[in-house]
Amino acid sequence: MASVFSLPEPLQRFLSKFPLHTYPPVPVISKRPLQKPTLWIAPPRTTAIDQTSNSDILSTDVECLKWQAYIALRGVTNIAVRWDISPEGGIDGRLPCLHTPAFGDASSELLAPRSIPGWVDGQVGGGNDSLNGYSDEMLKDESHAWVSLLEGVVHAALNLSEPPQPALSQLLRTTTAGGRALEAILSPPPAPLTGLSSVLPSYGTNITLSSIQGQYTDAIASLSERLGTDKWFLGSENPTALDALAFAYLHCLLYSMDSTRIEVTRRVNLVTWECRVRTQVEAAFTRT
Amino acid sequence: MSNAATQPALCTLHIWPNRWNLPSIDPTCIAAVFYLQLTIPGKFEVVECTNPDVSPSGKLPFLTHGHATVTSVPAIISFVSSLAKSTSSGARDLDASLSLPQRAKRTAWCSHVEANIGDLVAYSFYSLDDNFWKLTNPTMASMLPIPQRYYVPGRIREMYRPRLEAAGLWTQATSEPEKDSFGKRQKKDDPKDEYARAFERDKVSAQAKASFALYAKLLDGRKFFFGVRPTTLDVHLASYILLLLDPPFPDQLMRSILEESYPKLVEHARNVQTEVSQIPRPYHVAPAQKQSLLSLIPRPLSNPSKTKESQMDEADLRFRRMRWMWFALAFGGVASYVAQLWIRVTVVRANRRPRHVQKRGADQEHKGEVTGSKEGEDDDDDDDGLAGNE
Repeated sequence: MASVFSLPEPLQRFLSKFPLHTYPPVPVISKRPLQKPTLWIAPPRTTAIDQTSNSDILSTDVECLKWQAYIALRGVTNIAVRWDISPEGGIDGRLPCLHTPAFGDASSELLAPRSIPGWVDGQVGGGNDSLNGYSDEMLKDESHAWVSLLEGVVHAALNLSEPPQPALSQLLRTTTAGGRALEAILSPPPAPLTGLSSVLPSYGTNITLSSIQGQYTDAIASLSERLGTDKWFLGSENPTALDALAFAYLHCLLYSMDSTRIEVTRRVNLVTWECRVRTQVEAAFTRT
Repeated sequence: MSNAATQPALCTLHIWPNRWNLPSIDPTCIAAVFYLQLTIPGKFEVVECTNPDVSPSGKLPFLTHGHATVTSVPAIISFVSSLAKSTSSGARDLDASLSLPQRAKRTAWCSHVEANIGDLVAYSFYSLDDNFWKLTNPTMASMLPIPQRYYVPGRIREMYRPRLEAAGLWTQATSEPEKDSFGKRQKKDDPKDEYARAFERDKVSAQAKASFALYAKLLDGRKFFFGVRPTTLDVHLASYILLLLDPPFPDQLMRSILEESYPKLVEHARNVQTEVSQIPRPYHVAPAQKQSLLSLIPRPLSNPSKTKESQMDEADLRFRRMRWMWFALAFGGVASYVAQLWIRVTVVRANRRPRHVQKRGADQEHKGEVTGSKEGEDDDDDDDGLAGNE
């Protein structure tokens, strides 16, 4: 669209002394081209307490671990992982991201988590199942309830059980690098620490682990009861997205502080299930 | 021993005040009232409260029973269920007929109700500008004293904002309406805003229908979810559905979806409400307590959380004792230092006093000598003078 206003001639002559050049994009030559799909994740635990397990390949972030489990449980193997990229380098400033190599005519791509199921469907087939792997419609509906439970009070308990970070690192930590805030996880959201009625602006959140301990205990007990002796949650024949989510939370809880970890360790079926699934998930990934 | 001493104390439930023929304006408060009326009718009273800061969690509802204070609906349900285990309390367990797998499913579904249907209620009350400014804000302001009525409704709205944004229910066009010189809010009809609002409305409508459909399928034409008697899940869902149906929202999106597409859910909510109202012993409602000026002071200073030692875990108790020990050592150290200093000062002063007296005595003697010598000199001078005169 042509500009309505035109520059005066003396100004045009002056500006013509500073022409605008547009240079072509600089091709980035990679010294190590991508050989296999690589999942960018948050760093795993660096010190492996249990030397028998390859625990330094599973992310400590529940969101990244959920997608690691999803990819592995769908049957995709030989996926590389890297954790040297900060969350700001990912799509929408978050991890995980899946970096796929160039293949034939298809160029290398960086996929956000929402595109991972589509990529996995392309690798192993499937994606046409309207029940998403569940035995019937009722169980598929029930899976929504369990997802709410895990992403609600269980996630809040996991967040609250993390040790408090030093004040300086909190200042340097960007908002996008952190996980979801407790105000976004819990419904109804927690009240501000300074109260609602005070004249001063609201600050902080009035929530402690002990205030949701009862709900958390009920949630873990219910999860254990529902799993029972089944191979996968809700009696599915094959692993589903709910299994990936449950594994991510159970794995992170088993490495959290005592008050949250002990609730899971009391349930033998959850511990054995997590151990079995962990072996399958770890086998699907290799370090870059 | 008198009977009054053996009778258990009455439970007192503190909730937001009632409106629109509902026990409260908050869904969790309604759920608490319904649950208590179905389990311990006549054994509790309701106190309408407009200051959530008196609660240890900063939110309503909370229940007091003797010296115990229980906050949040799941904790209240758990507390009342524990009362039901004692035969002398006369409490009833709503979920007594459920098997263990059913109880597990109930827990998951209750969590889903609080998350998904709770988001829709919050959307109706706080996200839509019309609803907030024409219903929610005036309703809350009429309950609250000055000056809380001017900022608490907005503060509650901001409290829900992160949750609604995460759920995709915080409308993009939500903003403070501009005011003209008379302070009245003006509505600017921007075509882009209208288009965005229509798109958001469709998205919210689809999300709401997906959530309601789950419960309609779960109900499957039955009166209640797990049989002929209401359970905790029925109470939870009905509390939220009633708050979508009964308030006179300017924007009746949720009500229209429920009445047109999911009449079974409306019927279910009314069934639960009827069950509660048919209990022969109604509960007593005490009026809202007046707020003191202390409520203007931030919570940790005005209302320090009095967590009982029995509710704190070992780590908290140990930390608390160590903290008191540190304070005691610190003050003890300062006190002993001050005491030593004072003793030294006293001793030094005491030592200086005799020296000072001696010095004064020495000075006086010296003065005396000087005076004497002066007199002697004066006498000599006089003598010399006299001698000179002779």
